[in-house]
Amino acid sequence: MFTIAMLIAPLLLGDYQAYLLTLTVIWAVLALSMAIVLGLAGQINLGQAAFVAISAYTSSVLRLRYGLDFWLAAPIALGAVIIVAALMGLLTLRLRGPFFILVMLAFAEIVRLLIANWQDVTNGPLGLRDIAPPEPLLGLHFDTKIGFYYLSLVVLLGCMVGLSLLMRSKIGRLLIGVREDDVLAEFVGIPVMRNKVLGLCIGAFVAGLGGLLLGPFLTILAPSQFTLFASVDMIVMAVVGGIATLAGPLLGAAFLVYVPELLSFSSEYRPAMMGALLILMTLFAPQGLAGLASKLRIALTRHAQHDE
Amino acid sequence: MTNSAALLRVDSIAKHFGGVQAVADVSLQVNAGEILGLIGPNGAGKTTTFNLISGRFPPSGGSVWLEDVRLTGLRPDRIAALGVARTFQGTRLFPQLTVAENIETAVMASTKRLPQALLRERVAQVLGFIGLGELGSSVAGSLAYAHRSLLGLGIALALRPRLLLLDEPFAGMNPRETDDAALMVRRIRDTGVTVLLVEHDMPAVMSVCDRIVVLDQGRKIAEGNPADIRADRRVIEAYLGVDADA
Repeated sequence: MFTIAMLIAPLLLGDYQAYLLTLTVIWAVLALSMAIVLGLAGQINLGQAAFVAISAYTSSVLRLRYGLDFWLAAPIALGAVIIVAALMGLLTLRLRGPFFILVMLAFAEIVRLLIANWQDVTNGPLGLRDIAPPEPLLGLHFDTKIGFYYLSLVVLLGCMVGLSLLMRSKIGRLLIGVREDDVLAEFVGIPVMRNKVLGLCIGAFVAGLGGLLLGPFLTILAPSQFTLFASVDMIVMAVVGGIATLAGPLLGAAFLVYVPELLSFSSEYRPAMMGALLILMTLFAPQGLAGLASKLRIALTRHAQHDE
Repeated sequence: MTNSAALLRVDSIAKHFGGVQAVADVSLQVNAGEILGLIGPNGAGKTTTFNLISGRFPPSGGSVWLEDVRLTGLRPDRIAALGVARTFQGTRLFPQLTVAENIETAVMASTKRLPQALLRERVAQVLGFIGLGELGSSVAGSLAYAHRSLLGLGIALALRPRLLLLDEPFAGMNPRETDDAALMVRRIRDTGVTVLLVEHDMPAVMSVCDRIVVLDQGRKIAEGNPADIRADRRVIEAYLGVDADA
């Protein structure tokens, strides 16, 4: 039902609403990527924005400077993200708790500073401009707001379907085993390190998919978009929506795109609001909005049964 | 000590943590088909020895062999793949998965692709053996203590090990539960699995084990069948803390 609503919504709405919906969908992809790292690698990754940045910049630089087609640049950018994620995973996943978080945070800062200072390629703090919509593919066009929205939606739904298939597969189960108890997992024969790196790479891949969409969507890319706060936003969305369900990150993204929009509060308060929201959700609704929704459904059914 | 029936051979392993010598030069062997108990007073180094054997951490010296395969230096997942399974003191589980999924995860980890029907059959078989068939769909983290231990055992058995290492299997159990668990250990051995266990509970060890190795202060002080061990002067001294000449 929700999916159908997402499919027809933009047809009924104006350009600005289509923009907000697309923004929601792209953030949902990013929040999903954070939920994957939280759920499969069992780690909070404050460097997730770096994977988004690597993908966004690699694809856009290849297109703007080397004239590559979007559809050719995309797999190269995703490959780059996966390689970087695998290397970072091998380096950092032996570290526990705060050390992993700190190293990934440092990594994200390094990536951001590299982008800001490598002016010949990235145009530094001024950023890349005039990033065109993806070229037509198989007769489909993406140069309208609606067309691009559908492309983003396909990416999101693809990620959700792929992830749900993964979780049902043997690979998914072994990843869950490692998350649940990595010592036990290793002693039942699961190569723990390989699986943790795999979890991080899957999360980075999804973050990379989100990054691919970001350039053409915003038409500009600048290093200031990929600070710590971008990673924090992803965490808040994943947690607010609930990381235990596939729809959670989408709910979280919708919430965090539309609520500030409706209240139209100033962006300088945003980090503080995010922090407060994260604390409140963790304390009072650890299962997120998705968890609240299912609790409400159970309560209503009970109520209805009581009335009979 | 090169008995042809030896399944596991421990060759003068040692372990020191910083300056503390936890285990000094311990050798022992576990024969195929037996239940060997590893006992000793607190701080004797039995848990450390157990962890060295199972590959939890590397020894400072010496080596561990499963028949002619050297286990020392292998990662735990490689050791598991060779047919050595272990349980944990206080029991480790996959807490958010169901009981059946816990077993299933262990089966999946230890096999190449199994057809669904075969996988389900193996899970049901293990659940039946440990007597948790009724609780298959319960969440593991919410189990009662006795059921948790059984599930921990089931996870190890799901690997179909040749050698099963039990880390204090009777800890925290009342006498009746201990009897049941002892019976279970014997039933496991009767299916052809060799068992090495570390345990505090002396009566239980005496009743369940074929042979016993006694450690004290990181060294092996005695080895033999339960009757011999019960009568061994050095063992009594080690446990009672009395001087032999006093």
